[in-house]
Amino acid sequence: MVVKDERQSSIFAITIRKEKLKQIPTLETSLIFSDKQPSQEFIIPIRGIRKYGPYDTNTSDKHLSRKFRGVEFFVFYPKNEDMIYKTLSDLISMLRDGYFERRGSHDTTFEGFESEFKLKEVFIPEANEFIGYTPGNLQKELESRKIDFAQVFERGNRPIVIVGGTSHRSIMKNREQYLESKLQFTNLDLPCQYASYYECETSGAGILYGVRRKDRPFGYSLWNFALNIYGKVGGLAWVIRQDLSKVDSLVIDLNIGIRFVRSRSQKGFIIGYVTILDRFGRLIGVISSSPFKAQIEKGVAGMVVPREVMENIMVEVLKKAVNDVRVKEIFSEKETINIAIHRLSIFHSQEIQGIVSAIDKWYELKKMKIKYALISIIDKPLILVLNKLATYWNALRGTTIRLDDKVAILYTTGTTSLNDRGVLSYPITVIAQNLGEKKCPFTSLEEVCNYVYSLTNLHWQTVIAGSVRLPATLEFAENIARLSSFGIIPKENSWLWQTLWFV
Amino acid sequence: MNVDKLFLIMAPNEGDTLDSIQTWKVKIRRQDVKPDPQGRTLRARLLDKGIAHSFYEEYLWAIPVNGRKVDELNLRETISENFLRWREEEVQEINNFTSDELWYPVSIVLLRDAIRYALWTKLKDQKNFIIYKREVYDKKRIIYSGTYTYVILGVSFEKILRMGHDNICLCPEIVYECYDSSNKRVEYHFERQKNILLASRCNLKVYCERLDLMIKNIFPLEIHLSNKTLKFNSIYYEIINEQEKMEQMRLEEWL
Repeated sequence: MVVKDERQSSIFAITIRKEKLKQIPTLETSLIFSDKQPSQEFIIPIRGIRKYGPYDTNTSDKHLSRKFRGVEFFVFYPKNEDMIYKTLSDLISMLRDGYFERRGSHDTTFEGFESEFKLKEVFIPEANEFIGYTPGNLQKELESRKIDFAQVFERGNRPIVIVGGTSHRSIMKNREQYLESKLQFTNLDLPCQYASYYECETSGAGILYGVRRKDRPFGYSLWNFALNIYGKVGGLAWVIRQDLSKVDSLVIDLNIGIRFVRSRSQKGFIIGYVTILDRFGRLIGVISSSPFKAQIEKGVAGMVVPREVMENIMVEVLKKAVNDVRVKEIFSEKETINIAIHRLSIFHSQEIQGIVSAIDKWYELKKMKIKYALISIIDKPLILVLNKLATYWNALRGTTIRLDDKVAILYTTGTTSLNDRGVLSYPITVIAQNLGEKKCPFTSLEEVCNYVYSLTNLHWQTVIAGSVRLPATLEFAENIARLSSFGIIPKENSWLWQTLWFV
Repeated sequence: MNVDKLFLIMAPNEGDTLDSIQTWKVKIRRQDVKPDPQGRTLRARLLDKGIAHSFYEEYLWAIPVNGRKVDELNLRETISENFLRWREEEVQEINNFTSDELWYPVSIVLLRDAIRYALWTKLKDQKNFIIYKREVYDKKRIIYSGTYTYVILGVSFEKILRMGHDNICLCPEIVYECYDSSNKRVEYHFERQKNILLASRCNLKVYCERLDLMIKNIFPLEIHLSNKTLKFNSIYYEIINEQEKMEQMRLEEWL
């Protein structure tokens, strides 16, 4: 379980200063699908993918371009679950042949996985080729199929496993089905996309439940499902440009997000998971700390990571980053590397000392100058903002209000026009803890907010713009921490580390 | 053209500032709390007497929240009723109530008790309302009705923020509760969450209308904190943009 108490704690650190309350301008982040795309073209994911194709099909950058020809699907379902089998076959046929119904006015079409993602070939099995398995015995079922999975790579393709099941994230019932499939396929270096069907007396949930509901739009769910698959096989649907400052060409070279999870093997111990993204948002790697006892200090809300643990984490992060072939060249050309570290709580002085110590050590070792920004995010909504000029008073996405010199609330999700009826959205709070210090790469709160805002576009989990609240670093770290706590983590050198296996 | 006219949903205290607060400090251990025959918590027992408390640094920090001053209550009697033993006691004037040192361990705990007490005092005779700590629900405000369940409206005063060096603001927010047809709280997580989610899906204008419906029964709210009285009158705070500020200055000059 991902440690939740960190969400609460930072609220106590905030002080509003009336004289500082002010709206901060933010720049809308455009998603880039092609290097030829005009810089001022703001385009939503579905239109971007259709107009240009996924970014990795358009770039000449050898590290960013797509490394596979096609995708091969393997579909699993639990035996004796007829509803799963039936709805799964409907879903899979939509992935292959497309979805052209319009269930209501807010629906969209999907022209098939191969066509939408500009793939050379896609193999999607017919329903009679789906593989039935007995929950609890999946490992046994997979023994005889390992060769089939390996052959996919020989054809220059990537495999993806779709598993239908009755587990759903909102309930505990049948959770073991979900975990079993994630664990077994990850152990075999296979990305796995779970398709849920959950039904109770009065309603239900999950994409397979959605397939059946002919009265509800399904196009966006299907697109999200397909986008997740594309990320899980290592595709890069879009990137963003980091125009963080109006005056400088400020770029953050490494984005680091830290989340924590309780150790299942050692009671009372915590493990930290750190995701490292490069300037394009690609996952460079994940570092996990050794289990540690979080310190609870008098008068400090939440837990404190011991100095030496934080120092070790940071040293490992830097090692991992500089050894990555994708960023090595960039680093060698730069005099100073800018990094931003995010967590869902205030950085305690012990933790800051650990970070500073790691950076100093790194300088002594590699002579690499590093500037670092400590950015705390509070995802629990603090204060809501209303815009009386909007028809439904919703604050527009991107609305940012400074509360103090280093604190602002930021709407990373929400409506995009004044007449949009959209439902209530909640802002996050951004705390730029070391802003104003010499080693901080940012020079203003405006830059920090723009940066955080841009990172919320780097998630590749949904085609609905403005629906992910947290920056990608923290979203990814949470997913990885959660799965890791169940022992679901790819092997050290697995190809899955080049993919979004965890979304 | 300006496309934003922004307001924060927050209620700044318009009453006394939070300096020079008279507080009791008693050297006491948490382990020395006497058990209650009725099984009530110490917090419930002390709040019944109009006293907010917090344990910090080997001391019990306590203040009256019922409008009386520190020297108007018999502290010794209250202490001996509720604790097996204690040592030094003193009345201290706190001037750093919103400091980083005291805010989290002491001040916010006392404020929460004070809010809870003020809500209870104000609404205790109104039968429609359910008061749960710092949340108030109105049984008659049914927001969503399913086949076997319904969802009622409430407001929470859980969030308290510091404002400047000697003030605070409340950030009220809407909360919901789900009941079944026999008026019992629905415990099944999936059903409960689903209904609350359906009830809470609204735009901000509707949200504010709901908030206003709840707040009109509660505000203006006076919260007593020892020798200070905090007053909360409004939940909207306008953000004045620089440009508008400048325009106003010009107008003043012209006058």
